[in-house]
Amino acid sequence: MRASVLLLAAVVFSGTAAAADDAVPETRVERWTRLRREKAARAAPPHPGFLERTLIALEKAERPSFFGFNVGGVYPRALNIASGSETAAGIRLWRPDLGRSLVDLHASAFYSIRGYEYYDLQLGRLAHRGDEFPARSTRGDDVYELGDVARVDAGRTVLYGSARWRHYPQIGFYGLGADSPTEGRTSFLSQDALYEVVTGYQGPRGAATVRAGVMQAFVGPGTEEEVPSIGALYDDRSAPGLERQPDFIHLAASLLLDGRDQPGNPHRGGMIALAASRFDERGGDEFTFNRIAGDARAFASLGSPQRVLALRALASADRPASGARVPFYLQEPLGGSRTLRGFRTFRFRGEKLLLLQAEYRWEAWPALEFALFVDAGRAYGRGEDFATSGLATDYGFGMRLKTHEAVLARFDVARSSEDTRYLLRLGPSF
Amino acid sequence: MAATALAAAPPRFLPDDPVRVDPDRLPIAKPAEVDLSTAYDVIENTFQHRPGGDVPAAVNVNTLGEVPDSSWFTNRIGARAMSVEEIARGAATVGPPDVAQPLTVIASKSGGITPGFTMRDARGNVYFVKFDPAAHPNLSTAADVIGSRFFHAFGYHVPQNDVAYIRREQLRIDPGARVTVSGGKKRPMTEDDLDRNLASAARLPDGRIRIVASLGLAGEPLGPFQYRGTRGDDANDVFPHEHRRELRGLRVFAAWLNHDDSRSLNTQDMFLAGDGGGYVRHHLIDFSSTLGSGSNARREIAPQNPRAGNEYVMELAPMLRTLFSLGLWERPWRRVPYPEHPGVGRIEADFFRPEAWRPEYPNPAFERMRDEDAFWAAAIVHEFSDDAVRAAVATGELGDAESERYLVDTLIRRRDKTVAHYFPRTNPLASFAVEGSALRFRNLGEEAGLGRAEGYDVEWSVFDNATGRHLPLGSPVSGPVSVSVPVPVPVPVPDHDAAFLAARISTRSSTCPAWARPVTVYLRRGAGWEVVGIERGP
Repeated sequence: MRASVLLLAAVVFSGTAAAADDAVPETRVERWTRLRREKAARAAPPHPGFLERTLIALEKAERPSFFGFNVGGVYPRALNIASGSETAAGIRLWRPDLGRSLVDLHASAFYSIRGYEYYDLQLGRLAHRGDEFPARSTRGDDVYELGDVARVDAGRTVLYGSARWRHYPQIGFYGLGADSPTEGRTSFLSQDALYEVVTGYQGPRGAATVRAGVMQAFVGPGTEEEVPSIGALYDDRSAPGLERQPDFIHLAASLLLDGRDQPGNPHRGGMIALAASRFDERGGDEFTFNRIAGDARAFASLGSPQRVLALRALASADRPASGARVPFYLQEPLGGSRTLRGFRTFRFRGEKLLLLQAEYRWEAWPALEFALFVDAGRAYGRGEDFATSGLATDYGFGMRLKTHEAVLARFDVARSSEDTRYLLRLGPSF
Repeated sequence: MAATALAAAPPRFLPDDPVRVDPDRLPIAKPAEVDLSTAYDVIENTFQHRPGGDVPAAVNVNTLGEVPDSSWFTNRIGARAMSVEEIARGAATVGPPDVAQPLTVIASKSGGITPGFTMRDARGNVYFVKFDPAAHPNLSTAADVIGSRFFHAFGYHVPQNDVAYIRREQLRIDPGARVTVSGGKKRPMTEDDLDRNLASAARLPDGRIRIVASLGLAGEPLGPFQYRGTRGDDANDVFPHEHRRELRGLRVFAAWLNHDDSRSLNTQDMFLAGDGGGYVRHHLIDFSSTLGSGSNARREIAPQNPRAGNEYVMELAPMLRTLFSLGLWERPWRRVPYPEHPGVGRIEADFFRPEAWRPEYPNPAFERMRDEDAFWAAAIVHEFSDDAVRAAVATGELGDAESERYLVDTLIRRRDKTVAHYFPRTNPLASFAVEGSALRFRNLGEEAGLGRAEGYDVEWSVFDNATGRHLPLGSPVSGPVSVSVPVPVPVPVPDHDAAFLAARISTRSSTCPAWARPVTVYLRRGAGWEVVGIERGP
């Protein structure tokens, strides 16, 4: 390039032409005109390369984004449908305000590379913002997911019916309580269906919902080849509900108070989510229990928006009816990419659970964030009270790709006394 | 070829030097219309086309170092007197739309972040229309109008932009109006489409909508130009764009007004057909991202992101510094305070440093700006009086005296910082002319109050145009010290019968040592002496 410019400059500003003959222009204007006539003889339109052509085509199509591609409201998607599922491919049907009514329709179907399946359907007035997808609820009543409910500028009432079916064939189980050994690792199949009616309110600073429905569950042998199935190491005493899985009437109420500046990518503010639920065994009371849970998160900018201290405390307590037990497959787990990151998914389970997390996050670039973190938590066995002794801990380093509104993906390296985990996940840690 | 030319000892000056008009309007066939990918432009200019090694001098200047009038540029302020009324008038030709009559919407807007449409007024003039969001009335429209006035006065080809006020009831949809829907398909525009388009627009208490109406450019659109290379099918386009002085110097203007969106996407080539062909005229368009107006992280019109003008959208060094300091190192621009004034975005003058200013992503022409390019542009900036700035800002109709005062003051201070940075980097002598038997010139640095010239050392020589050799004429003489500003400094021209004379002038200044860098002025004998060349030496 530079050589050609020098050559051009030599021709443009020199007083002689390329050769001292009769064709040499005598004036600057003639010289410049000659350059133009020469170029006219070899004029050619520009030919953008493949990448440029492709990007032009995409931009001219005026699609909102790659993620907005859909056919008749059916969106192809790839995501994690559950802890340990690995990536799942599938579709989401999303038709907000059907026929300009107040009724929304959402459905999804996913199949993961580990054989996990997930199907759901919601019809009614869902909690969502504009044309955006509603928060995807894989667990329904779970306090973990309440923070994902979208806020809206103007409050709206929520009322819808929901049906969900799940098939998770490789759920980990190590026994109950904090002392469960790593050698006790097994896997089981968890299959359930949930039919419920949900009503509530979605507002600019939170949401409140009440739900009632029926849950059917089935537990079977796990399909993970590296570890034995649950029946090889555990029985109905050490894994309550292993022999029989009743149906439940499920009632739940939840409240989210959200003061985060940007829920998907918070820099300041906080949120608190509370959930109370009852699992009432149909036709018996061997497994009837109540649960209360709370999830509090706080975010503080440390002198600059690029430095954020993120804190989280989560607690859950199950209270079985007199003489009843809490099924192991409904007990809350700890371990994995959103809780104790240095431990395997579902590493701990218990009737009570405590999780404390702290992250120091710093943005090197608005779309690139790094983090140092520490997690501590414990699952408590039956009869144990909350205590801060015996907490399992881990620490690590993370990198996140994000937009202004959301963490798109993260890579966390977490180390604990048991393991060093490399976690590549979609979505935030908390 | 070049070697042959050098061996032939070319004359430095040709008979028609200095060329005042570049004849780049030779009739050509209509070039192909081109599209630009925003994403590709970011990637390409960030990772390619960065200058390596020495940057050659601009190639489209005349022997005085000036940019000739061309299809790219028309010398205005600085080259001639421009009244404040003329500056405020801008590129006006037919005036703003006739809003007393019904207006016909003929197309929806595509591209960019601002909603809008294209309309035709009762006189048949076509305007591209944009408006402000309800959250930030006046912000974008004022910037677009004011920016157009400045860039027109600089000398660029720009559209006529005006503020106007319309009512929804005035708008009729042309049966041929189409909207593009997801997937690139088009369908007829409906009243609902128009309502949605206008839903976010700021409205006056009486319901009117303030718009910026940009008169359609003459000719047939060919798409944007790039800040590098040339258009292959435009025979008139022979100077690589990154080596055009008006595109390199555009960096100085863009910094002054914080036009961080000064990229190819905001340019427009138009083909003006005539008998036996036509030619391409090159325009700058869309000044809504100037003067602190811009967009937020959600790509909504808002006061500009504080990063804009301070850091490229992708810049490795600050990323690494932040990463390895665990976030303890903080970008200095993050702590810049911006006062809040209605209709004015994030623009200030305290933190502003013209040399550190950056557009959204690297611009090949900006990155090749040399001192002489910057001096050329800074000299134009210097020509804007306070009243001229005031007149240009007034066209934005900010409607708030304090906002207007703040913007004017900020631009005046940024102007002064721009001049103060670039003038001391070279010998700021300009406006050379021979009057009678004296060579006169202006010291722009003194005029700007940046220093005081204690004297001028002038070395005269006879210049051999055929060989390029200088034959010293006597010993260096000292010219008179400027006694008042801006009275031109007279230097007697030696009585000699040579065809060419050269005066090598250094400015003695204890306050600005760089002014000692010599400027060589070439005189050619015609009916009298005329200035034929200026060389700003290292």
